[in-house]
Amino acid sequence: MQIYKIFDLCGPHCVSIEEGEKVRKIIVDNFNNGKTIELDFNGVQTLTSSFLNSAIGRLYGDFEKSKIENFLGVKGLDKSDEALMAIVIKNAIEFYAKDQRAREAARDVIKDLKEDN
Amino acid sequence: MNKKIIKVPRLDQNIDSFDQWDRFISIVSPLFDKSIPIILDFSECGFIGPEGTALIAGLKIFRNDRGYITELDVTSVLSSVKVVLERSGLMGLFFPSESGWQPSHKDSTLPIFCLKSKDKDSAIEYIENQILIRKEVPHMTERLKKDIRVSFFEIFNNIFNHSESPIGGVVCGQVFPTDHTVKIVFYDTGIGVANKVLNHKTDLKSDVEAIEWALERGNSTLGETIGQPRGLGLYLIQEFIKINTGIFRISANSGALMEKDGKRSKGMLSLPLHGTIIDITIKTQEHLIYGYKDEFSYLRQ
Repeated sequence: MQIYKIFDLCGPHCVSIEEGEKVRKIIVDNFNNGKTIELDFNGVQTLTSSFLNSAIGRLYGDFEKSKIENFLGVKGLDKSDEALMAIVIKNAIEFYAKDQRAREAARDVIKDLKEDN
Repeated sequence: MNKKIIKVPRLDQNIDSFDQWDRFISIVSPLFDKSIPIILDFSECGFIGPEGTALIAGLKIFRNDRGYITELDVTSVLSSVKVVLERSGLMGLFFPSESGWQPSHKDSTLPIFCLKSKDKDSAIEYIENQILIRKEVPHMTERLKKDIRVSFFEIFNNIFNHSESPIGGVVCGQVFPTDHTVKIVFYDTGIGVANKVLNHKTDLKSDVEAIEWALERGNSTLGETIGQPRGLGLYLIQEFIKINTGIFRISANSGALMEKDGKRSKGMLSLPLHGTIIDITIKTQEHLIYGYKDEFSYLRQ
């Protein structure tokens, strides 16, 4: 299993969407190659929701929850960052569930319109 | 060319009264887009807190960028107010070449910091040097320092990802050593949170409703537009301030909202604010910090 040190990738303050995107790309590349990875947050002093939404939250739109749970490990988070990670994941799961429902509703409307014509 | 004299009103430090804030905005906000040269007269301003300083700084920078003349009549400023304007760096904004009117780094005023771009390193330098290790700032635990850093960047991200502010953001503040509190004010001259939400959520009826929508977990105009999860920043700051028993205030366009002591108060401004101003007052007493150490509200889902 490959370990990625977030400190080495983004420094001690991981705050922006762009930095999160950098981490997400690494995760996606590994997932697509069937590789299991671990993110090591040791040394990171500041984590924001923007960073985590981008790095982790967006994965829930691209991969099954079970795949993320099985292929991605996380270590080195303190209690408050763990809590932040939990809320980012919860928010992402809710967001994509809503998004999926909206897509299904739109598909139904289009189907009805086609049938009417 | 004629110059219009604007009398800047008093704005106290802790504005529990909405009226004073409303009056200040009513006078300052309409000046942003007026091309006529203006002179700010402080003769009726017996005090100006960091919210007022941020607003005047934003006005000056905004108008400068458009080539509009904005002057400050230094002879009108009371000596006690002059000290505040010097320490905050506001005087230096109006008189950049005058030595001796640069912000002080040795007192309880957090000087004006202009964030023109998403410059993380400058922001970190300001947080560390101007907020966290100032000798006037009461001792804070590492945990609280971290929460302040995170809150700062959540608002910072909000300014640069959502506000469309032409000047970026203006930050300033005040330390109250005897009250064990630190107040940090963030101002941007962008579209305003309320307008941004109302453009996106047509079912909402007012600017206050729009602000409340923006403060809820998971709500984000950008998130819905780009199809990605967002909308946690402002919610998390509110949660932190609740646990810290501090004060969270936001004014945007015609809406204003304050969270204090677990109560939310709301108001409509007489004239719309140009952009969004967020101020957070954080308590730094250690016993309060220990109080929330193991019960961070994110876990109360």
